[in-house]
Amino acid sequence: MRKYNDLKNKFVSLRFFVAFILVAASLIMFSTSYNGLASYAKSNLLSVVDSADILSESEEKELLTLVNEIVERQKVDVAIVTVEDFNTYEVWDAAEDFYQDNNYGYGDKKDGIMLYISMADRDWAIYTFGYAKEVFTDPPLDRLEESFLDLLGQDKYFEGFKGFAKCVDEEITDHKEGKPDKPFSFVFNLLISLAIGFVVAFIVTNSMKAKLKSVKRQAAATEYTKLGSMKVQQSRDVFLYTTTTKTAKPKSSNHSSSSGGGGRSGKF
Amino acid sequence: MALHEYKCPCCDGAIEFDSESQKMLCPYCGTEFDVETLKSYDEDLKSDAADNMEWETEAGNEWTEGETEGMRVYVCNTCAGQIVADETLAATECPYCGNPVVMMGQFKGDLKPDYVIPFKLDKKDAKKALMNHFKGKRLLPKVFKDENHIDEIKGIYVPFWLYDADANATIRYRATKVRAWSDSDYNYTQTSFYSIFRQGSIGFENVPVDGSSKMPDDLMESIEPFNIKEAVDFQTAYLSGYLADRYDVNATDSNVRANQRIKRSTENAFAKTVKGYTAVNPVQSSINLQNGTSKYALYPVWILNTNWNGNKYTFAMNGQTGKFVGDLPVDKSALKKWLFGIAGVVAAACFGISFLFWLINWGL
Repeated sequence: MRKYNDLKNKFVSLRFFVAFILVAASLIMFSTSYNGLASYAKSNLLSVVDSADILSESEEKELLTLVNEIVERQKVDVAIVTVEDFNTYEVWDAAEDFYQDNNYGYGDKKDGIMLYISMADRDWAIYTFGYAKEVFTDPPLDRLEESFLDLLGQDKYFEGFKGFAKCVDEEITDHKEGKPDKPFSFVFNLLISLAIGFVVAFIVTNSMKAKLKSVKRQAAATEYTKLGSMKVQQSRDVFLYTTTTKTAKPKSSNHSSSSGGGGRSGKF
Repeated sequence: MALHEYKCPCCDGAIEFDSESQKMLCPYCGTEFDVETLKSYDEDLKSDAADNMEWETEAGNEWTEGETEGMRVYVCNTCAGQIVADETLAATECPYCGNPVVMMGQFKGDLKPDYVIPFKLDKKDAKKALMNHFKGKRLLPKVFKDENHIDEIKGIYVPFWLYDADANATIRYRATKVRAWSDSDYNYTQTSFYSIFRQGSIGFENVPVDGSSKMPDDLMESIEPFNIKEAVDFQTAYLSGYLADRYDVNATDSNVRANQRIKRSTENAFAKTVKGYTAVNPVQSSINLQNGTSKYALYPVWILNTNWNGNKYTFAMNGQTGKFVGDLPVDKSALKKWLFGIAGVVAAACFGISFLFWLINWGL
């Protein structure tokens, strides 16, 4: 009888053990699947939203592949959005609304950066949030602007967006590796310094050389003009025509909001 | 009636009347003009003419009998330069090439100068001026200064043709006014084009042109100006102790140079009356000379010759005002030292500053 009880006890503890394992395993599975869901709680929209329809189908696809790869690798959301026009007063506010309303951002802290283009008045805005706001301080934003603004100005949208995405990728990598914002380029600075040195030296030695030359022909006979002999008998100034050229002012202004977003906006 | 065709001032295309805008419209470049504007522009164009720069050349007088008796002509066997001096002149060297000259004979022929400006400065002044000329020139070879052996210093009366004339000018300029402004989004640049017309006269007196082909023109123009107010009627007595160059370019051939200078001066003088524009460029100018006359004068010049490293260096001093000119050689090794020295110092300073900036901005 005792033997039976022993057996029974063993069986119960085994069953308990199996049940425990099963529950634990399912708990682990659930929790991992939950974590996966949370960390990649992506926006209800894609990373590239071309409402203004300025990209071709294939360009959009290529850009999307490029951006998605960066998002996965850097664990920072990157989005490129084009619209015909925006409804708010400021383009940067429109970008913030779009980012927040559509649930962009990577992870709990919703880290991400968005380039927002409105075609009606050629406005652009960069919206940064979370970790991306930390990365994109003024100097990186300057470089980021350089990577796409001129291209957008020339209507090369696809190239501009690619430049933006690549620059975002590089800046985040540099920030993660803890590089100083700009390494001191020894060779570059030396070459520029030498160039300046030689230009200055050429100017100085040329003026020294010029002192050795004192023989030159006279161009005019001004000192032989009879004093007061000049008379203007007829004088006519006729206006012919006028031409006007206008060039867009590249400009940008920094932003940050109470809800924690950062970035920049301007015209292209 | 012959149909008159107007040309577009903007692109030179044939311009037409546009009935819609009641203006002249260029079919090629699309620029619009008032009819009146084109009319006055066309009038300006019609005034375009070639230069007319003729001279009456009655410069110089005939020698009176016996006046040239004491004057001798010397010739250089090496360079064929000819000089005139009085008979007291002993053996001398050619002022142009430094070789001995020989007496050719009694001076005769040529014209008698109208005026002469007598020498006011002497040989000592010329030597002093040469020393001053060497000062403050860092690239002058030291040896050149130290070995300074002036072969000979000669006072020469150089023949000059002096031209007087009234220039009548008709000049057309193209001028632009540029206005720039900007609003919040754009920078604007507006360029307005104007056709400017000026007609008038200006007088010139005693524009000098060197009448000796042996004397370098640039050297003589460099020691200008001479003060003609101190000129006196020519007398052979002024020549004693000095050499005189014989003119070998006559007044008619020399006026080409005077014309160039008078034309340039006239254009400059009238350009100064075009005011208030960003840029003014002469498009067409025609200069007519009136009452053009010329005179023959002798101007005093000190000539100094020296040889260094097989090259000849000639200096000239205005014998009236003391203005001293003459090109000097460049010390190549000093030039290199200065060039690399300055470049090195400036480059080092720039590099240091760039590193400092980097430290302040990023490194610290």
